[in-house]
Amino acid sequence: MTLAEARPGDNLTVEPVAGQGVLRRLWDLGVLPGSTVKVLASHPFRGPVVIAADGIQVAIGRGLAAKVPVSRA
Amino acid sequence: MSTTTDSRLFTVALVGQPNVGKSVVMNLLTGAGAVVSNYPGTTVEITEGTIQGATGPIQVIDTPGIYSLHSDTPEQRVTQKVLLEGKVDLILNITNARTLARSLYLTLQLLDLEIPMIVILNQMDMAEEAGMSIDVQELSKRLGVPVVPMVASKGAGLATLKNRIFEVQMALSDEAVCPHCGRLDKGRLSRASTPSENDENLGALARFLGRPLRFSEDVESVLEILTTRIGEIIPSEGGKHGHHTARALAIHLLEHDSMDEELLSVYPELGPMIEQFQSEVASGHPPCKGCFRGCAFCPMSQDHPASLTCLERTDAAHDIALGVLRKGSLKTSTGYRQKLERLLDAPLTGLPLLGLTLWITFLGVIKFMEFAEHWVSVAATPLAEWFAAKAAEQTGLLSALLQSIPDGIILPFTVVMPAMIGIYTAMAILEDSGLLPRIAVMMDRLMSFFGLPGQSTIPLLLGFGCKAPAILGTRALPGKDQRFIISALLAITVPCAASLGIITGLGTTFNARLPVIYGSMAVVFVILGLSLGRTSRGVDRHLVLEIPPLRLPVVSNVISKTWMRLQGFFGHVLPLLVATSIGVQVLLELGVLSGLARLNPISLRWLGVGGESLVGVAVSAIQKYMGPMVLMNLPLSAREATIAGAMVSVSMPCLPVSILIGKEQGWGALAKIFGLALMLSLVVGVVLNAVLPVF
Repeated sequence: MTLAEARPGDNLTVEPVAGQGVLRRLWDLGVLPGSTVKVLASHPFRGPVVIAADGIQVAIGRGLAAKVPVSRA
Repeated sequence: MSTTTDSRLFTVALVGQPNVGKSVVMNLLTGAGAVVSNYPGTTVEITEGTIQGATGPIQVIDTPGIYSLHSDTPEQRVTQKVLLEGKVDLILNITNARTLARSLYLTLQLLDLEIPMIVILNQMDMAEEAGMSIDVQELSKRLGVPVVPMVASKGAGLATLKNRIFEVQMALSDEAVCPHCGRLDKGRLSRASTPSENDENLGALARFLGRPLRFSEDVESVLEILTTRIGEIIPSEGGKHGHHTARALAIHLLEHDSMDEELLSVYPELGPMIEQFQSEVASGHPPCKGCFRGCAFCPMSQDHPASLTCLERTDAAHDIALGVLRKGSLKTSTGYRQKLERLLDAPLTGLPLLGLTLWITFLGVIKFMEFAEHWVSVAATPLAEWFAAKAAEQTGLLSALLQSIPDGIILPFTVVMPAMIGIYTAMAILEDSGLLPRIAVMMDRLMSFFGLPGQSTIPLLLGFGCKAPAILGTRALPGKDQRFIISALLAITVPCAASLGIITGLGTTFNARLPVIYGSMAVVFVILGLSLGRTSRGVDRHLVLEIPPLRLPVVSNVISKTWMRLQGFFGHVLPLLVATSIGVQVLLELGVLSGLARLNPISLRWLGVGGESLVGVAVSAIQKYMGPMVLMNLPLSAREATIAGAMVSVSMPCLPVSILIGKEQGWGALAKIFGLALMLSLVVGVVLNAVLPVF
């Protein structure tokens, strides 16, 4: 599954993904392969997904979230 | 001591992740007016200041916030450049106590540079509020550099910080500075870190050099190969190649799939070296035995998820953070702040609450403007009457001048200043509270129709204050397409506080229909956004934004910020408005503008306004707020004022903004924006003339 399909309250592990350039901006915010994130909110009408990663809150647009593979932790 | 060392200032650079409080520390240290806000990306350029140090003046540089040294963003390049130029004698690495593990990632990268460093542990109060206590001594031991805990917003910890800075300055005062080039001789510093070194000053400095991270065996073996090669091709001086240690360069290579132009321009030798390395790997003879496929620039690592060094550094940062965190009395009861955050961050409650906040802000600004306009007008009436009486006594040019003075002087105070104060105050509160990034998240879905990520709401809203800083703020957006779209929207359709003020003046003076003018701006905004949005490509159109915790705005910060931005009112708004007013009256009196009446057959037929009004459109390219001011001085009907007001509102960016756009995005982009602006302004005129009834 991808981060775009996650529901609020989910605890997820970020999976490795090819094409590192695209997601490099997310690494900087603590969303790295192997890291655990918690989904805080999922905005309606395909709005952004808000997660807690490494002690901070990060909002990610749905289009980008669809590129982040995750599995349930 | 040679004269070269005399002329070179001891230089301190503030480096840290976004929104950790670099600018607050900058203001504390230097008293300079760096803008402080509660959202990432406030500082997009370098701010410099000077303070009196122990042995002479100290130059302090505030750099844009960066999450790491290897991300490829405009901010990162600015900060990288500062560190690359080799002018920095001491890094003040500002970290956030509340999110220590993440902050330490950058700290560990900075340690690789082997520049003396002090770690500032900021926002200690926030950490304590979250129930964390941090063993500062232990952290300092693990990093190998002094750690200064601070609550910068309250000034706590400043004295200790200054003392530490002075220590480094004194230690560096003579001996360690290279007598040939005036640069800090890092080779002598590293040698000084061995106990056999006798020089006391250098020994003192060693305490600030820290302990760079050791990676796993796999990584270290590759680093060794790379450092040897770098050592062979780049001439070294005192253990450093240029301003980097060979190790720092090698690590940089491992983490980049492409080389920065900046780095290659400093180290041109690296290009061929990387190519050779890559061809050795491609030909099946990897230079490194037991390849772990973790070097970003190596062709064998195509399928690797992340550079191994990044992952190991993340782990190390977490280990250190875990080792120094003493979870004391974890407060189970959550304060009002956390409750409010939870309400705002849940879409169901957050969207209406944030929408309501924006609406209240808007109403508040409008009410304040109306209130201020009334009372300032009352106060200014005797003055206006005196001038009017004097004007009646005179004839010709002098009479025109006397008539224009009250308009030119009083109007800025009645409508422009209240608009600026109201909007700047509202903006400062939104910025400081942490509501702005939340509004950006809320707007993300709507902005996506314009091909823009939600965070572009921030420069758009800032544009209602003044557009120049808003254009600078677009740097926080990573994509070029997106920066152009937002600049075009800002330049053409968003009114700044000053012009908004005078436009409302058109309503009072000529009974112009303000809803029509505002509506024109809004319609053009949407149409322009939708059509430009189709050009938006790539991953940068998606939102990625850190949401800071909510914070109660500090009244003194809000006031000082509003006051600082209001300087522009006296600096250029007031003088230019007075000049415009006088200029138009004089031109009218001299009959110069009547020449434009020749345009009347065309302009009245198509736009419904006299040729003179078109001067307003033209003048707005110099200063946007001068456009409506020209109209104020013309004899207009309500309908003419409405159409001309809308045409002036949707028109070219002012000169300062034009120059900024040209510099930031190229003069081609500016030409496009000018073309669009002129076209849209005419279209607005033609359409309004066609649909507006005579009133």
